[in-house]
This record gives sequence, structure tokens and C-alpha cells, in this order.
Amino acid sequence: MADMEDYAYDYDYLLKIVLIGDSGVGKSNLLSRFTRNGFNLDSKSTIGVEFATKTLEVDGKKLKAQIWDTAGQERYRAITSAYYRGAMGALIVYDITKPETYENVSKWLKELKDHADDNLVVELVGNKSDLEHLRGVPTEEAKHFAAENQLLFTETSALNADNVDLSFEQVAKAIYNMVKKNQLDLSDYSGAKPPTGQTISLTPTPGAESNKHKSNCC
Amino acid sequence: MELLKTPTVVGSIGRHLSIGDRLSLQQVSEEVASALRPSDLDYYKARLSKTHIIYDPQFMDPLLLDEFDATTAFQVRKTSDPTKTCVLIHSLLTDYIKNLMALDLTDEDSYGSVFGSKMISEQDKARILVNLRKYADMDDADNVVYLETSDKVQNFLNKFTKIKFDEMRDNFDNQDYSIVALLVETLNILDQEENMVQFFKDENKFPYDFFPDTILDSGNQLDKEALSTVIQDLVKYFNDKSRVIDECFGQQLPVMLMYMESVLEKEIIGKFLSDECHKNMEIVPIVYYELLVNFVSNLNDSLNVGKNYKVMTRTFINLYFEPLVAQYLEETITLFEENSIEEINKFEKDYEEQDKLEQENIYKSILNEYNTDENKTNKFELLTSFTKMFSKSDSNAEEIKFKTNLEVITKNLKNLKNYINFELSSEIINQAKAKVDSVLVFESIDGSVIDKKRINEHIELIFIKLIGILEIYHVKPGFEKAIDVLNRYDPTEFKSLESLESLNTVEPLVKFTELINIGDLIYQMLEIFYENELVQKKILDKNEFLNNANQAKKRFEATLDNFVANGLNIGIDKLMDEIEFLFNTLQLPNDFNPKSEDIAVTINGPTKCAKTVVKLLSNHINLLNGSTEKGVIDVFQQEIGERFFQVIVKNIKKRQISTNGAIILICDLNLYYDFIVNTLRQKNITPYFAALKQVGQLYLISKDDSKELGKLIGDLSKFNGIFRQEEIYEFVTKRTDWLKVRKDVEKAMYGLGITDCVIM
Ligand SMILES: Nc1nc2c(ncn2[C@@H]2O[C@H](COP(=O)(O)OP(=O)(O)O)[C@@H](O)[C@H]2O)c(=O)[nH]1
Ligand SMILES: [Mg+2]
Repeated sequence: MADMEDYAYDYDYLLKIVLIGDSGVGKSNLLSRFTRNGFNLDSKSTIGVEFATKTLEVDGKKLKAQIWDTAGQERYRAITSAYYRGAMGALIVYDITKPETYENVSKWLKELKDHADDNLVVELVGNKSDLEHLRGVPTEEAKHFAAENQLLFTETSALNADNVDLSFEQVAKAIYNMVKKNQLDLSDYSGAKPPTGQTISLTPTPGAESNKHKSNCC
Repeated sequence: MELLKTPTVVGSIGRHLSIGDRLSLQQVSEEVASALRPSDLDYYKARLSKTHIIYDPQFMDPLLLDEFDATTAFQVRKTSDPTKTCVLIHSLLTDYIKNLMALDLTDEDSYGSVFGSKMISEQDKARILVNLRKYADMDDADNVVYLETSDKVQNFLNKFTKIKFDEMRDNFDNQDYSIVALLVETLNILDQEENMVQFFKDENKFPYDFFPDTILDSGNQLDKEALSTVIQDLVKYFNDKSRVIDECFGQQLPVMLMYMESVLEKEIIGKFLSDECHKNMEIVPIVYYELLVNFVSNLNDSLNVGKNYKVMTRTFINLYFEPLVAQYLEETITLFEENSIEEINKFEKDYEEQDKLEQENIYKSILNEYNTDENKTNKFELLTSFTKMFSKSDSNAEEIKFKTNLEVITKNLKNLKNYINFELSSEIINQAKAKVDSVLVFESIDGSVIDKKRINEHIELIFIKLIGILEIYHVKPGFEKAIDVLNRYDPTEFKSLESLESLNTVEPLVKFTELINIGDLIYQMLEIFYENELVQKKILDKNEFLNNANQAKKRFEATLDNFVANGLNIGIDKLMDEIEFLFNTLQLPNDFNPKSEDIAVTINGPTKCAKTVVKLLSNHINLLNGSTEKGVIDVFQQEIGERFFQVIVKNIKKRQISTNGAIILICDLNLYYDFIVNTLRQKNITPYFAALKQVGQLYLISKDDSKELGKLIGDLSKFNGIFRQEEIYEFVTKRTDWLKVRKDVEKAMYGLGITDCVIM
């Protein structure tokens, strides 16, 4: 019974969002803060890829965010491609106490350009805002850079949860708005073309009938 | 009388005369006297030699006449003048001899006449009598006189002695011990030591009803109070006797020790205590202790014995108790072994009966459930009716059979941990401890009959026996049975799908670890025993490798370790069987290959199968915690980790995985990884699961990147070292799009596609 929701479509749209940025900036902790409201002081560096989901409400619609967290050091282009394939949003995270992680943001932007969809919503996230006394990256500078590159921007703290929800919600909203704007285009995607269906990043709500049908199949 | 004029004739006559007659002949005339004179020295020397008075010409004789009387006549030891000495002795005693020769021995009232009219003491009378005897012995030149005189003297002496003994008996009975003391003096003079001791013994026969019927209780165990009463009674008895002996005998005659020895030998140890000990040898140490310590230390000082009294008494006790102690030492270990084995057998019999009962109850309840006719008719032949039921081509038969087997197996599993019983083992260990305490009693005793070395050997032997008994008769068969049940357990046999989803534990493994816990507890108790009883008491040296007890302990440890290892191996096998079973039943064909519409659900975390598997594993990995040492736990957990890894690999290889399904597979693999890192926490195992995560990523890769996929296969095998290239290749063949990417992959890997080869 408890697993019923596993099989039920309790959302209107499914969005794939990727977390990128240098190792140690706090990606995994942002994810766990957002999806499980947890924080881990000595989190191990991520191996491979981790997934988590959270459902948000925007304009009365339920958006299910499927967030991919990687180590960000994948040496294989094919795997990197797999990570970005179908992603509709990306959070480029840096550590406000470590300017070098901020400097690498352009490297990450380039990677997105190489591998991801052009319509991708990107947000620049300066994490560890709780460490104000150690700050190495001025807010204004980052804000400016974001504006120049048409990126969303927030400073967060996975540790004390400041702006964490906001940063994800902001990305989700932007995606939703973009999708609404391109409603027509979307219908092209919605046809679902497995087994190659790797381009599917947004799935419309299936009807109630087919829902029941699914449960039976599993 | 002409003859007397010839000196040689006179001389030879004189040689065969009694002393009295020779002296008379000497009085006849000066010629006779001088005819006798040449033979005087030889004659008197011969007489004196009978009484051991030595002739020494150089000796200065004291003034004999002044110094001696009839009571002291033979106190002279040496003389330079045998004639004078002999004549003197004769003169001192001849009147008494005459009186005695005239005495009518049947007339006891006239006995006093022997000693003349003067009042003399009984002791002096005795002294005179003893001297008369010596005189009669000495005066043997004339055989007729000699026989007559010595005979009479001896007869009188006997009569006199008997009268004195009679008097002694009367006075003893009246407890007139001061008079007895005087009589003892008299009889002592008469050389009646032995007879007096015998007399005392006869007069003080050890009471036949002195002891209680037994000092054991109804359970054949020592009644300590009864023993203590016996000891107190004995102390009182001997202190009484000692007082009497001191009063009667003083230091004149060593009666007490002889009496003590004879009673200890014949009555106390030889009879009563020996009988009691033979009823239960276990009481030997404490009885010995009571006797040697509490009995001896409460004895009052004895004037008769003097300061060696207690030492001597201890020596006697040891002397007569030693055989019992030796027997005890020999038998106590045999007894311990027999009793322990008997207890173990009883335990097993009870267990089997209980088991049989449970089995019958299973049959009964199942029979009731199916309520067949046989059930009523053959109430007492459950098995028969049962087999009948099976033989019938009843449609229920299969179901009944299944149910019965299931319940019997459930029962066997439930009982698995009872194969080794802690209480029983602990009881046996306690008995061994009691044995050690018993034998240590010997050590606590001053002047004990067995020495420290012997005690140490004995304690070591107890320990070795203890270990042997527990090992051979209990732990070994227990584990063997348990391992047998484990071995026969088939986790898939009785499972339904519902039971699988709620599967929490692999019962045999859980039960077996309970058994290990018990085994470990037993070992710990033995370890404590070893430390407390052997090491701390300095019975043996821990580091002495060749010592038998040390070796026995090591062997037990090794046996236990072996069983634990075997059992855990099988247990892990079963756990893995179960996990594999879960993979085969709960992992659905489309789990990693969702249909297109299913993509939406793909992100709901790990599959139910993965969650169930991890839950099952989590329930088992800490089974051993707290029971065995860290090393064993690590080996156990690492083994689980490694085997789990292999099962996962096997599971992946059975699947078809699509690019979308890869997400779900990765979720599963992440769950396994998290379980290893956060729950199992065996660092050695982590790389395997990290490698699995990498394998998961292979399925995410788009078919458009098939060439890169080929390169990656080679790289990955070099990079993580967990999987060989062929193995990674095999993983990739599980992609749903394998046929589409195959050519490119193989080309990238080998430079040529295998398909190309085939075409060539
Ligand atoms: N003070 C502070 N530490 C953080 C914050 N977020 C992450 N960390 C710490 O930074 C380290 C790296 O975090 P992690 O989430 O593993 O970074 P990732 O490699 O980007 O996934 C960990 O020690 C975290 O505890 C934050 O907001 N504030
Ligand atoms: Mg991380």
C-alpha cells in the first residue's frame, strides 16, 4: 500500500534538472537538503550519479523535479552526455569561500553548451553562504556575471537551508514558463519515442485510465 | 669324705654346685676352700655372665655392701671381682629365694611371707621379684636347683603380676586412677608394658555405637553438621581418654599414641570414615580436612605423649587416610566424567522426547485440520495414519505433505539454538569448579598428605577433562546437528510471494548465530575458569605452549572456530540463496527496461526487490555483534559483502537494461552502495560496489555513443580493476539496444567487430 504512489502519477510534469560544479562545493548537500531536508557534514564525494525527486507546485500544477547529482569529474564524454541528455534545467554550483570554484563556472557553462539542450534553464548558485566570514566571491560580481550570461542567480546555504528551496523552485518555475511558452513544441516531444526516448524530458500527465493500467502491469 | 681331700675332685664337684651349695662346701674346711679357690673366678664369672655383669679386672668396685639391697642387687654393671660380687648378690637375695621355695603358691594370702616381716612397697616387691628371677637365671650350675628355682620364681612372678593386673582393673573400674598409677609403676618394674597397653585397650574398647549410622544425607551428600558432630565427639572422646591416660600412666608408659593409632586405624578411618567415603568418594577431601584440622587442633595437650602429640596424630591420620585420598583423586575425575556425560545424555533424551512430542503435535493438529477418518480410528498411531493419508490419492495429500514439512522444518529451526545448552554446560563447568575447590582443600591443610605438585596436576586434569567432555559430548554433536539442519534448509521450498515481501530474516542463520553465541558464552566461561582456577592459582603457566591444559584449550577454541566458520559459511550460503531467490522472484522483467509510458515512474527510487534485499541483509549483518571477536565479525561481514556483490552481478547479467531503465538500475546500485558504506561498513568491500555504480553508467550512455562505449569497456577494466574486460563486455551485452551497438562496440574494443569476422 505504501508503495502505491510509486506507480501513481501524482504530478503534471516531470522535469530533469542537473547539478554541476566543482567537487566539494555542496551539490550533494543541496540535493539532500532540498529533497530530504538533510545535511551531512562529512559527506563522501559522489560516485557516478545520484538521483532524487521532489514535487513542486507552480501555478496550481504539480511539477516533479528529477534531479541528477554527479561527481562532476566524469572523464568520459559519453557518460557526460548521458547526464545532460534531456535535462531542462541546470544548477551550476560554486563555493562562495573558494574563488577557484567560481572561476570554473565558465568551464561548466561550456560543458553545458557542448552537451545539453540549448533551451536549458541555468542557475548560478553560490553555496555556503553561512560562511560569510570566509567569503571569497563577492555577491555583486556573481550577480553581474549571471545577468550577463542570462543565468538565474542565488546564494544558498545547504547547511542552514537558506534559499535552497528557492533556488530549485526558481529553476522549476523558469522551466515551466518556458514550456508553457513553447506548448506547441512540447507536443512534439510528448509523443514518446522509446526505446531511443532519451530526449523525453517532460512528460504530460497520463489519463486516469492508463494510470490504473500501469499499476496492474507492475 | 676321702674324696674331698683330692683338690681336683673338689674342684670339679664345685663347678656343678649351685651358688648356695658351693658356699656351703667352702665352709667345710680350709683344704676344701682352697681346693675350690682356683676355680672360683671361672665359676663366678660364668654366673655373672648370665646376668650381663661384665668382668673387668681394671674396674674399681664400689663398696658393695653399703650400696645395694635386694631391690637393687643387679644394678651393678661391671666388676673386677666376680666372686665378691656374686657372693654379695647371693647374700642379698638368698633369704627371699628360701622363702619363695617354701611358699605354697596356691595360698595367695601367704604370698607376703616371701618378702619377710619388714613392710615394703609393692614396687620394691616387684623389684625384688625381678631380681630373684635374674638370680635364678644366674644360678644355673646345678641344673636341678636351677630348674626348680627358676620355675618357682617364674610361677610366683606370674601370680604376682596377675594379682597386680586384677587390682589395676578394679581400681580402673572405680576410677581410682592414683592407685592405678602406682600399679602401673609396679607392673612397669615387672616389664608389663605391652600387657598394660593391651589392658588399657581392652578396658577402653572403642564403643561400637560411637558413630551415627551415616554422615550422608538422603541424597548421598555429606551432611556437614553430622560430620562436625562426629569430629566433636571424637575430640571429646580422645580428650577424656588422654586425661585418664595422663592420670594413670603419666609419662611412665606411651599408651596414648598407641591407643590413638589403633583407634584411628581400626575404627575411625579403617571402618567408619572409609565406609562413608566409599558411599560417596566426593566427601573425602572435606572429611580429611575435618579430621586433620578440626580434630587434631582441638586435642588437649597430652602429658603422656608430650609435645609431639599433634604431629604424631597427623602422621597417623595421613598414614591411614592416604589410600582413600589416592582413590579419591583417581575416582573423582572418572566420576566427574561419568556424571557429566550422564547429564548430557539426559539432556539429549529430554530434548528428543520434547522434539518427538512437538512433531506429534504437528501431526495431530494437521490431522485435525483435515479431519480424516484415520484421525479418529488410529489416535495412537499418528504416524501410521499419517502415512496412510499420504498413500491415499487424496487431493489434499500434497497440501498436507507440504504443510507438515513446513511445520516440521519450522520446528527444527526454532530448536536449532537448543542443540547446545548454556545451563547444562554451565552446570558442568560449576561441577568442575567444585572439584577444583575440593582438591584445593588438600592444599590448605598443614602437613597434607598430597603435595602442591600433585594438586596442580590434578586440577589441570580436571580442566582437560572438562574441556574434553564439553567438546566431544556436547558442543561438537550440537554443532554437527545444527549444521546438518542448516544444510538441509532450502529457503525456496516453502515460500509464497506474500511471505517474500515481508521476509525479514533467514531463520537458520539467525538461529545458528544464537548457537554461536551460546558456544561463545561457554568458551568464555571456560576462559574464566582457566584464568581463575589455573592461571591465577599458578597451577600452570599461560605461555607454556606444550602444557596439556593449554593445548586442550587451544583445541577447543579451534573446534569452536571451525564450527562457527562452517556454520557461517552455510548460513551465508542460505542467506545468499534467499537473496538470489528474491532477485529471481521480486525483480520484475521490466524493472530496468520500462515500456515507453513507464518512463515517468522510473525515478521513484530503487526497486522493491532492491529494498527487500537490502532490508533482509541489514537484518543479518549484525547477528554476530557482541558475541564473537571483531575479527570473526569482519570476516563474516566481508564475506556477506563479497557474496552479495556476486549475486548482484549475476542478477544484472540476467536483465535487459534500457537507457531509461539504467536510471532505475543505478538507483538500485546506489542503494547497495549506500548499504555497504553506511551499514555494513567494510571498507575492503566498498570498491566492488563503487565499480558496480560505474557499470550502471554504461547503460545510461546513448546508443549514438556506441563507439565510445567500446573504448570505455577497455578503460573501465583497467581503471577499477574489479572487472575484467570480458566481464564489462558481458554487462554491456545486456543493453536492450545491444544488437544495434554491438558492431561499433566490438570495433572499438578489438579493432574489428566479431560479426565482421564471421562474415570474413
Ligand atoms: N558550511 C557549509 N558547508 C557545506 C555546505 N554545503 C556543503 N558543505 C560541506 O562541504 C563539503 C562538500 O559537500 P558535498 O555536498 O559533498 O559537495 P559536492 O562534492 O559538491 O557534492 C561537505 O563537507 C559539506 O558538509 C554549506 O552550505 N555550508
Ligand atoms: Mg557530491
